[in-house]
Amino acid sequence: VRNELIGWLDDDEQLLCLARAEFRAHDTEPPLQRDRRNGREPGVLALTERRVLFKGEAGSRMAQARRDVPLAWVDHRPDGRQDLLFGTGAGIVTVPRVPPELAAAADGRAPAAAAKAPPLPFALPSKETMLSVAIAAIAAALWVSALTRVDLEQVGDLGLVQALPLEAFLALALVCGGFAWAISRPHVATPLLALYVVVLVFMLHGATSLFEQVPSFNVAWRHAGVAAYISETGGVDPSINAYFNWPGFFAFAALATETAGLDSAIGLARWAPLVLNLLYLPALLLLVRAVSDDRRLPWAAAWIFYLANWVHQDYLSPQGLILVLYLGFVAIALRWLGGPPVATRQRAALICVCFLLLLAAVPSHQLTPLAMVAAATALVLVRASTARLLPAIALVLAAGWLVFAAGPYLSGHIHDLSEDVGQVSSTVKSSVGARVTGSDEHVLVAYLRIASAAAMWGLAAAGALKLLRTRRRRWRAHAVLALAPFTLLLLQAYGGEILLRIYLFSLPFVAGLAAALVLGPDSRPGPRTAVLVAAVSVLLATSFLFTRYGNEQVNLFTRAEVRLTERVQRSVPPGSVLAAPSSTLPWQSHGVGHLRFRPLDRELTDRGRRPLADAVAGIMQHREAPAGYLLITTNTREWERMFGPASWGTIAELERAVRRSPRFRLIQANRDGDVYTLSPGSRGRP
Amino acid sequence: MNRATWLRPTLIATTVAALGAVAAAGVASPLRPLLTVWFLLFCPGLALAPLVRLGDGWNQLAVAIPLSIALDILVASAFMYAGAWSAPLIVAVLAAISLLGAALQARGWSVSR
Repeated sequence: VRNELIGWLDDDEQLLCLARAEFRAHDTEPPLQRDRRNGREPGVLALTERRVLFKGEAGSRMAQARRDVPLAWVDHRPDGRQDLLFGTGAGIVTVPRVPPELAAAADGRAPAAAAKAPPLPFALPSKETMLSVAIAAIAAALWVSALTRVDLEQVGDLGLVQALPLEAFLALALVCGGFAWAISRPHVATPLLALYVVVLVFMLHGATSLFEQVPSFNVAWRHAGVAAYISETGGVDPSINAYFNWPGFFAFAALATETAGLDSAIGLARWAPLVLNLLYLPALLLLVRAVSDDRRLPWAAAWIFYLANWVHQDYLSPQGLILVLYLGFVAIALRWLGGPPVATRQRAALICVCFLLLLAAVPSHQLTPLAMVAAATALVLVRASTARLLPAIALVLAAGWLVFAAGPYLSGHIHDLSEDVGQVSSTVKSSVGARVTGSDEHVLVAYLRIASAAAMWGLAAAGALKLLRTRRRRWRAHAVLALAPFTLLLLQAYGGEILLRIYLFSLPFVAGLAAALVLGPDSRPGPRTAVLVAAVSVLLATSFLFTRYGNEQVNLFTRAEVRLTERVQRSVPPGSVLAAPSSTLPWQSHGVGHLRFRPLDRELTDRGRRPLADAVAGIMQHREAPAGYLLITTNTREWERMFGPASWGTIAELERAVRRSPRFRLIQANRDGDVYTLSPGSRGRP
Repeated sequence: MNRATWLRPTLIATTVAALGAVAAAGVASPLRPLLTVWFLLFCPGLALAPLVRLGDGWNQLAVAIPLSIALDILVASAFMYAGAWSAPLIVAVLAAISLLGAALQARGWSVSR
């Protein structure tokens, strides 16, 4: 036991003392870990300069930061000697006969030997550590070299993977292998695991910033437009669209844009996926640390989360930023409001923090506060949180905003919202069946996404079963938190995206359970672990390239496309109508509130027998609009090629029709787009 | 005063001072967005979260980052709905919160005392 305990120490961790000790589990812990004698389990306690570690003879393990472990001297022996008690998440470790060096170290006094030893200016890392760091650095360098040479012309319907040079795959294999080696070494080197996770996040989630000419994804441009409106007017107009009824994120984006001295929030978009994913990391770690004392599992769970987070909600978006609040909220509830008791004032402060997180999430996103309600309720139901009022507070805040702040807007869209309530079958159909459309290659990507999500949920289910069988009751919280987001199916189809969002909300817990399955609830170092981690990582990383970057063909814009769209938005008279075959162009970044944007795939659902040019002219006419403009860009053509034409016809037909029509005139063109205007003389015609 | 006690308050105060100086001078530098993002995403939370004594740095960051974002959103939304939108004023309020927390940290205050 003693030797195993010493084997847990990091290379640079100084052991202060060892002592015989006894562990007594909290009542909620399984009886398996208790010895028959009064529920106490004998073992050995180690104290280092930064951690308290305990290994019991019946298998209990504990390793926690010293400041996380409250200690107390208890004076109840007839001989006047005191016991030393350490409070841990699982129970209490008692040291009955306290050696003098432990007493000194526990009181914060340095042991005499350590005091005499001259401190080293720095400690040289081991050869293995240096090799691990070198592998991570080489992987990152190879990745940058490969991604900056991506030929965007090669990006096809399978996405980025078709344009990736060979070095990119080598880099991914290196980083996966390096992490597998680092996590399976006998000594856990936390900085090394952190380095690998950060390198992985940079590679997988910062990839687009290395090859895109301009920020990608049309929705990010639209979000920048809402932030621009707030900067320009200082307020919101709830009648414009749903964004203005949940404007918290956009107020934040406007504040960041102005303070950073940027022209538009789109300047923040390029690095948003990388930054947001890094912001998730501390809460992801805490979620696992709340239920396990193992030092490898939190990093393995974060690693799996990043490999499986392909849902692309981490762009400049409310859901991307508010996920940080969701993770923080659940982590606090799990670690401090459900774990070992904390001081009353500390608990009160943490409940205040949870309240602030809810208060900020409610006006920022429609769905995330409901996921917070579901998570808080699930934790209370399985007694993993004692904050029983938190779900009620969350529900009241979310419902209050819906009724009082967003009520007027919702009352105008009540039919759209209420038709999905309780319609689980049609909601699932719209989230799965309706998304498997488009070219053969894109259908393959869609199927891969479904398979990837199913595989992750399968891994989590297997992990949960394994944990239940070994009676790791603290993990029950992860099992219910992985299931809780499914309650959202009862409420909304969310434009056919609800299953994607449920996947995202459950992924932190799914990743935790999957990590416990791959590494074992008490991770064991060794070659078997290394092979298993490497295999799962390579599989997930390969799948990620298809599932996350499978839409790059329609997400990427060219500079010419952006120039043309910007010029039109900034130069046309206020009130003008801007039409386009679909929404897949970098528009709405300016002019929100004073330009009328009309995507034809939504606005022109039935043209009857009217000629196409007349039908489009009808959409572009508005009695208060001084002019109408039609934008046709490369990206709208790519979208049509991948997903098929709209109900009114093809873009080629549209172009032929407007060129022949006397009502339209080509006013601007560059290599990636054309702009037509509706001739003033024709505007009065029906 | 040990290293842990003064490091964070010093970092927060320096960030506030640097951001104020850059904004006042109207400097258009690539550092300004970095400084802004660092301030908005970390400083208010890093000033307040350690007062709850949550354990190691990862635990503190897990609370500090969401808390920073929440405070940013709440202060910005309050100014917006009050019809008094002003990015410099909002940043000033967030800076005041950050400096107050930093001062309490420097004095060794915590919620459990």
